[in-house]
Amino acid sequence: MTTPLLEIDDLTVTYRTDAGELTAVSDVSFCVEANEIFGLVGESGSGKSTLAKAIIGCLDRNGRIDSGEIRYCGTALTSLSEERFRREFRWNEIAWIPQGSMNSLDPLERLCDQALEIAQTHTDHSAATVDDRFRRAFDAVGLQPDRVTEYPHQFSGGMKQRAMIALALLLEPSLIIADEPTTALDVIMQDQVFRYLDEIRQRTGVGVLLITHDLSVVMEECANLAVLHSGQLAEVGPVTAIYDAPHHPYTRKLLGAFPDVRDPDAELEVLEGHPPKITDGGGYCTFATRCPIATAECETVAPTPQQALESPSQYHLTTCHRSDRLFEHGRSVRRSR
Amino acid sequence: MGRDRKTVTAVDDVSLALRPGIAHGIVGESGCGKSSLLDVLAGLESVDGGAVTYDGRPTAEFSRRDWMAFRRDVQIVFQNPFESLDPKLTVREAIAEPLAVHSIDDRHERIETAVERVELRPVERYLEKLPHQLSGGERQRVSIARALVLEPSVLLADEPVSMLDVSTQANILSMLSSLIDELDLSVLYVSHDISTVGYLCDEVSVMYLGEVVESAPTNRLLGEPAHPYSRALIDAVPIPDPYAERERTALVGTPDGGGRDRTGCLFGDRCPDRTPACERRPEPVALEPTHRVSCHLYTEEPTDETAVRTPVPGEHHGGGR
Ligand SMILES: Nc1ncnc2c1ncn2[C@@H]1O[C@H](COP(=O)(O)OP(=O)(O)O)[C@@H](O)[C@H]1O
Ligand SMILES: [Mg+2]
Repeated sequence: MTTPLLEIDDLTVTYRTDAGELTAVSDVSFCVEANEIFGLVGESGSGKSTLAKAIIGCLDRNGRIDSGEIRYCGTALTSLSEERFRREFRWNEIAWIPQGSMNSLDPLERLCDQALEIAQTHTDHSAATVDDRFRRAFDAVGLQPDRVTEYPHQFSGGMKQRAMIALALLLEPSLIIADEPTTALDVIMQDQVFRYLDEIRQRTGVGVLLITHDLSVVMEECANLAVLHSGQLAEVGPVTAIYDAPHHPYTRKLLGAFPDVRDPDAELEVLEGHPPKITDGGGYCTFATRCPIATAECETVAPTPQQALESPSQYHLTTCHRSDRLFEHGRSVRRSR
Repeated sequence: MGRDRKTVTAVDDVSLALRPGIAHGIVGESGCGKSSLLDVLAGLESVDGGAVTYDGRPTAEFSRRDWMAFRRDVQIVFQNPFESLDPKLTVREAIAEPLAVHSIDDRHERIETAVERVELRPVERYLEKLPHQLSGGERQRVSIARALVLEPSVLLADEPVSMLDVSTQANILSMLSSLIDELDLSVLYVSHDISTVGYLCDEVSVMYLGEVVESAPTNRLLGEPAHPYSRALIDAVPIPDPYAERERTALVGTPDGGGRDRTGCLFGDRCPDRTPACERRPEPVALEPTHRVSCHLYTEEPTDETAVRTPVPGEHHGGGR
């Protein structure tokens, strides 16, 4: 077996807050392979951005990795010094497109100058090489190469987002972490951005960790996905296996909550409440208070990932005490279309 | 009680009527003029050509008092619940504000009813909260309560769920849907996402650069979209099904490129079905009494030399060309 591009292994991340220690990511494990788009979904506050920042070594100052390991091509990133990570991995190996990043491009600096700055911090490429590469990256994301000399404000929202992707591609990383890259865009622009991202993946074999709250996007773009709820991994596996037979009540509800243009009259599943904030160290299922089939066990014992019953995939895991029950009832849930 | 029909004409070539108990959707990309339409309807922008009539009277003829009544009866819910609520006001204060503006008494009861209607329960627990103590979905509910507290007959909603999680979106949409029935509201719902429009609205208008290019009952529009732009908007929506084989949108670019100055079809520069006929601006055609489209694919005259002309029964053709 080859080493996966990215391994998240039993990762727990906490923040110090006035209300106590907040567990934002709790014992999460999954792998992203080269040449795949891996989807990480969950409602706001479920810990998606925290996970991304942990990978990239950019946690907010009150946050820290409590336990677990993050490995990139087998190298434990969690034990590298920040300095070494920044020099050897950031941008050249792992590029990060932070949430809302199209608004964080420096408005006073031309895009090509921003690219040059990144390249000079991380490589010894000449200015001419950088310029050439950046123009090619612009072309790859469907922007006119000549426009590298413009300022961010001359671009529309979708163009800025594509410029961000071009920046991420600049040093030809093997992994791109894209945090909600299309959430602020309209559907046409979103579709255009994904077309470019997918073309780039096919051409270069880059692996993408796609973070989004939009399960529809994940169902279309990704081969595998992980579902987070209040920092816990609810379910992970191939999108088809999860779609055919969701083994966690949260995943099942999420799947039903999305409007489908093919069936505008369908009732939408309603998810009451929000993911709770875990400030007591956890030790229970974070979905228990919202779960229709929770028992006393769910409120007192944290579930561990189990192989999903009768799933065609051995990488399909669910973290639910009641998944066997759910599965019995849900045998025929596959929506017939 | 049969309120008067509220027929509204705004922007350029937009005609639509908002009727009690009906939600009308406006869809289009960012920059298509959806929000300007809403501003015109809300009386925030002046009408440029055409007229907005309200209760049978053009708003242009309104006196101060008429405007006051209009502002009470027509309410707006904005896109961003993080910006539209004053961070210093509690839920109670935020909802009381419009009542104070319109000097309405028995506030306490009205506020409670409004909060009850948007399903923030128990009501007492929410009244003293500040926006930062609420989730995005709860804030949007407060914005809706604030709009409803004046018991309007018209609600204009500008992408009210686009900033929210999809699970929350479903909650808000289903709540809006029951409110429309219960309160007999006339709703205009603006969005770029035709799938949420499909869920909420009875009828839809597709807008491109300030013009309505197609309008129809929702199911008809989703099932048999006629305008190439409507098709593009539907095709671009991701489908929550890994087996679905959706083709990606063929549209490139964004709606601008000086299109407003063109004499031809505004969508001409991006249209996959463009023909020489598109050099002229298409007139709206009724495919069905309730389904109208402005596109040369559906006009009856020959569109160009190569176009196949379907003979119209009874039409006499003279001796050749
Ligand atoms: N710097 C921080 N200090 C305290 N809590 C934080 C901080 N950043 C995020 N959180 C909390 O951690 C949880 C996960 O947040 P986040 O990772 O941003 O979730 P997501 O990206 O899924 O919306 C939330 O409860 C959030 O409020
Ligand atoms: Mg986030």
